[in-house]
Amino acid sequence: MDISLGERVFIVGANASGKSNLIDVFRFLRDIAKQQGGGLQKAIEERDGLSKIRCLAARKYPDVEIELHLSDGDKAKPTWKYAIGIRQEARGHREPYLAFEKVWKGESLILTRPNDDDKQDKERLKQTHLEQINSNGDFREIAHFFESIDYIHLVPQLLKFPNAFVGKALEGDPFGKEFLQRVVRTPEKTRNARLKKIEEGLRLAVPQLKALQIEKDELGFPHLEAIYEHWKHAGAKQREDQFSDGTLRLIGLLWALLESESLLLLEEPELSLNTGIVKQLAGLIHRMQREKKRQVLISTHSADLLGEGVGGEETLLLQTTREGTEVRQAVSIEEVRVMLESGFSVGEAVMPKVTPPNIAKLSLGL
Amino acid sequence: MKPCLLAVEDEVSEIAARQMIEIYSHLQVLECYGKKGFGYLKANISKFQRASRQMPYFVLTDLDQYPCATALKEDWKIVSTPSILCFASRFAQSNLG
Repeated sequence: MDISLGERVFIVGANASGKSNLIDVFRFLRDIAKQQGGGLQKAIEERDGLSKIRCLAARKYPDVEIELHLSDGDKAKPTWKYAIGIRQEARGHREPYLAFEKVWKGESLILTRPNDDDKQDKERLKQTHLEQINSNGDFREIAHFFESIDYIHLVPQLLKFPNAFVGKALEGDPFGKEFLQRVVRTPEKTRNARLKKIEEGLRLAVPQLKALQIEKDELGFPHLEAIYEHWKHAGAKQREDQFSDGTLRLIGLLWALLESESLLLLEEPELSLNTGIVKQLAGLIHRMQREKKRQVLISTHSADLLGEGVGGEETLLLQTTREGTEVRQAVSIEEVRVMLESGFSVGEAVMPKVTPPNIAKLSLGL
Repeated sequence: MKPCLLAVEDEVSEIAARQMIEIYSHLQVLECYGKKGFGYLKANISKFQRASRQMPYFVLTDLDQYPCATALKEDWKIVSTPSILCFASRFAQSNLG
């Protein structure tokens, strides 16, 4: 697939069409570039091997290839291009190694592997130059960009009951198990400013909630606290385990939007949220993104999220075929374009295209 | 085959509409919209009409309390255009429902 990604991109598709896999391409590059605990081998191992990364519909064992073009704006020419191809050893431990690694600065090719050194020592191909400080000096900007990619898919139960889910949080804590520690680690001034902004945003969704702050308990564990206003003058103090799932997800989402300085990946931000709030999300993301000038990729199942202000050109539609998933810009599909030009929202125009044809039979079949 | 679009109240109407289009026209349905009851069709009928300027649109709804299709078309302020066919019928429910 070959896709163009603007400042804000919505990814829609049926269940199991590959939305999370598409988002994982960027997480994968981040995991390679990460200076602490990163690298090609680790990134592949965390995904259970190359065979799990490869396209399900792939014939035989083709290479996995990724090429990214990075530019300063939608229309600007790429300032950087990075490409890797990965294959697996045919026998033995079947370890993955680089089929190629290439970097372009503008139009000039500044790195191409395998080079002479790689040919003499094949072990070198088990690492990218991207992940090595000694080797990525000429294109460290790319490594920094990949490393700063942020992903959030906050699972409220992990945050509410961390002790029920033993073990260390996943690398980068994508599901928010250590979200509170992340908030505490933020310098106090920045943290308070963000919590204040989040509280303002939250008051629109949960008008009874005020005075959002982080407090440590007697054992030193951090907790989110807020006052829930009711008939008593002082209201009632609540902690994160008493917050609703929607409130927690909204806090996580707003925090990520305020925190992220780079590409932000959001998976189904509409989960647990009231329809009225979901309708406001695209505008909210746009406003916060405009302030920070960074890119956001959002996967969604919600027609409400794809309402007013969302364009067909910033929406990617994933459709499954026998040969794998195809990605198309929504506006490039004739009937979607007709619907959009007639005043329908992107959600209205694209959702029937990602609804399985026989889904109505589900209720009859059970 | 020339492409067309379809809007219906529900799945049963969709089956009926697709059958009618297949048997009585040379149109191919690209997508079926609606399926959220008659309220959605009525609220968006002007948009369906606008869309029909670019592509034939077939809208199927049930007459319910209307005495005839003309009364429904008048109430919904449907302006006849060559490329929109609003078909209101009791047939769908009585025979397929």
